[in-house]
Amino acid sequence: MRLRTFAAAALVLASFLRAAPLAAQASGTPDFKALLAAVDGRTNFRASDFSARLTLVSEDPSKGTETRSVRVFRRDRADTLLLLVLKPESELGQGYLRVDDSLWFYDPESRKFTHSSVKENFQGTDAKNSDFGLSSLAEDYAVAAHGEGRLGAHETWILDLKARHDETAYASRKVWITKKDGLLLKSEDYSLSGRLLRTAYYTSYARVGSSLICDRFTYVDALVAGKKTSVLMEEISLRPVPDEVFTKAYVERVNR
Amino acid sequence: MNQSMRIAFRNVGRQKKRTVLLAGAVGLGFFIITLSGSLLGGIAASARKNFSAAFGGHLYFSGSVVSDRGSEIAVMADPGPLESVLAAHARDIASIHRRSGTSGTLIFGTRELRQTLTGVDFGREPDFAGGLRIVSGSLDGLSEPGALVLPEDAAERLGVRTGEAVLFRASTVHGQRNVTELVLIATYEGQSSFGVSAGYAGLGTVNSLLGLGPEEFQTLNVWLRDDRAIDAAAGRILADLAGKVPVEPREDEDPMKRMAERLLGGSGPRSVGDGEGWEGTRYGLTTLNDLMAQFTSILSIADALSFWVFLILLSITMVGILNSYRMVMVERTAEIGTLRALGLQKGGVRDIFLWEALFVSLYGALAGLAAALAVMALSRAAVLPGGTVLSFFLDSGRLPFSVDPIETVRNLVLLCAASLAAVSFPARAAARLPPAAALRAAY
Amino acid sequence: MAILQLSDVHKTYPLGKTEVHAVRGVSLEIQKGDFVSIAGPSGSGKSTILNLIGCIDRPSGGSVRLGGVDTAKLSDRELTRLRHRVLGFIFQSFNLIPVLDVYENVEFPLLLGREVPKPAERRERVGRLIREVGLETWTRHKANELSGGQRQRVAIARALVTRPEVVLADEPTANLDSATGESILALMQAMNREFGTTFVFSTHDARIVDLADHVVRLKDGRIAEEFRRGGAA
Repeated sequence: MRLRTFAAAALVLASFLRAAPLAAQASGTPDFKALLAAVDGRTNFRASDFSARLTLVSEDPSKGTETRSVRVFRRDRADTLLLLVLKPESELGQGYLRVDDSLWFYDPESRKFTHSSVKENFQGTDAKNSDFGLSSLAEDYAVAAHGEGRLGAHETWILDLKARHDETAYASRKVWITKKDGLLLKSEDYSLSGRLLRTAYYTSYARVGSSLICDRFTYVDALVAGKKTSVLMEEISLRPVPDEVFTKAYVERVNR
Repeated sequence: MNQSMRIAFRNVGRQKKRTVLLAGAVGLGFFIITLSGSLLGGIAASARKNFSAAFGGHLYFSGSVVSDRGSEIAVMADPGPLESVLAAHARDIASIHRRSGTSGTLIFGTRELRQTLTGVDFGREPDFAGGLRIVSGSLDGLSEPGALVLPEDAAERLGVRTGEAVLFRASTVHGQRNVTELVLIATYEGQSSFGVSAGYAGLGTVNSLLGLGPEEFQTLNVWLRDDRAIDAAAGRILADLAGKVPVEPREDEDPMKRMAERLLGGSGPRSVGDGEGWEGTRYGLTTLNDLMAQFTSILSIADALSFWVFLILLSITMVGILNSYRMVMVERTAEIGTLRALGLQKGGVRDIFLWEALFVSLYGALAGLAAALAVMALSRAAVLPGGTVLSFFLDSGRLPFSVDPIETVRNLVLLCAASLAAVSFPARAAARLPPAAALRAAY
Repeated sequence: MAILQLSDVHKTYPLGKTEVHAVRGVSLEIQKGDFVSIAGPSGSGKSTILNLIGCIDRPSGGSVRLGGVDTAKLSDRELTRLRHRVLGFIFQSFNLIPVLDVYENVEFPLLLGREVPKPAERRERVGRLIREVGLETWTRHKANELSGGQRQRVAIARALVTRPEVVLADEPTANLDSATGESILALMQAMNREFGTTFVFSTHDARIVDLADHVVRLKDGRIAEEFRRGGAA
């Protein structure tokens, strides 16, 4: 309930920020909470449905390179999500369905749904299930410190984020957000014990409708050297997705 | 001594070949049922012992609270009510241990391995170390923070040796990602194939990984005095608990899965639905029997099968006894006439047959039992190779046999009853022989 | 005093679809202490008469009174008890219990009754009888270790151990050579005199018939001749 109320507020904020992203810069530092809300707003689509095809390339020093193709459907206004695995053949038909605050994993082998968590890693990759769903940086994290720096060709704000509550995936994060467009370029995600777990690089943004959405990102595992996952997002669409897609029955049916 | 019994006792030795054959058939049946029953019983007892060692007790009480954000957090925030109920059942309880645990990923270099990690309060569980069969390293540094003990095969797969540091990545009770560095101090002989071989670290170490305070814990593991009375004890304790505090219903889910979710924190905290919540700590109970239910049902199927084999052998033997004693009746007709003439009542004649069959059955059963005991003794001399799936059912690498006296007596009674039933037909026919006609038969 | 009374006794056996009339209207009285011979050729009904007297067979008609009791009215259980109390048996084929030794065979009937004598008394009675029949060195031998004559001596001792009023002997010498047979009969005679026991024996041997003081001759299931030595029947 609270989440939706907040989401509405974020939406208002986001549209405001899109019109004048750096309005606050003139007077020194921007409103970082609003900046984070803008990042969230760029990833979340409250006004329409969202679908895309993801290609995940995972490199693991012990398992080699694996490529996965996944179809994602989202209806962010209802916080629902469906991830359907298309490749490899061995995982074809496996699905993650988020409805009613629960995440279910479907295995076509056993034809059963089991409880999963958004904080779990997606199919053994460095991506988490939550990486494909709603973004809630502004809700979950407070800015503990800030700085500035260059990242490649971009001037960025570097923010140290501390979790506002203990049910976030990471206890703390460090994010790089461009000063010019408010785009998230990089994130370092830390454990409760303060150890770097992974680094995310958001390397390419595509224009979808009036918004910019990151369509190419890489997660680098900080604990296992040489382990990383790159994600490419294609066939992005904001067209309505039929209601039945976000049901267990649909997940079962596409497997027949 | 009863005269029929005396004659019957002597008669057993009259036709030695026939007696040996009949008793042999009876003995074979008894041998099979005793051996298979004892093996299955032994396997059950060994598995029970090994399972309870792996899980650390017979009853596992867990606690959970609802967080501000509506998630079920696995922590025994207020153990007081449970501890006072347990104190009232002290008679049933051998010991109580505080545990925390999680399932996560061990990382060593570029290798990763899923592993459950159990936090043990080594200070309060001085006997713990004695229960592990150490393969490498030593448990001397067990109480040091960050000390880790792993099943041998887990360490092997990870390629880590004692003295080396590994990372353990897991989620806190709230679902936050966490990682800690642990140092492998020893490996023990485990059975990872059953998914019950835990790694062990100090309770404080696991708590800090779980985001819990050093004195907190997730489960109270109870060792009962009698591991056969688990269900009864669980029922009594739960009944006492249910009136005082929120208690999770026991029947709704697959216990193995519930155990995994609740104790090992596998998939992070569950959202508690509207109207499902509770105040304070809700207690849940999983028992060793819950966890072994599947295994137990396989065993009981095997047990039922071997009992059926016994029954089939028994019925074949009964047909043998029936026919043999029909023949005996014909052979001894004149003798029966004589006994009747001398004053033996009909019942006395019948009793001779019944006693005789009973003696043959008892001899056979004793021989079968002796043979089964001999085979057990012989096979116990052999130590089977460890580290396999099999070793979970073995008793220190040996085939486990546990002769259940009640079951043995039951089988013996069954066997005797069946023999008596089978022989009752020729026995009655013999008793009804008219003495004069019987005497006319050639002696 | 008549210990045994047969009144118009008939006995028929089914034989296939026909009936065999083994005994046809025999009436007979036997006095206590008699030494009776029932003589006749094979098939004359000797064994049937003995079986009827011995209560191991029931008459088809007429009545058998044993010690004043009409046996027709008794149940199998009561007949068995009566047999045990009043009668002793000696068989042509000796019929010793093969799994028991000499002593046990002789003792056996003593153990069957409702009131079993005390062990000391049993030992005394059995031992005395075994001595009487001259087998004191054979007490622990089984029947199959004895000669025919010895076996019949055991049978005689067994028949007498319960101190019966009547001993029935069915062709007791038929399976013995003549010398042994005579010695067996002499033994029976001696017992008859010593204990006053009534002996009824069947035989087709004329020499043995001569030893009896009461002779009943059967022919075709009827009494052909009956007499007592030293007086008419």
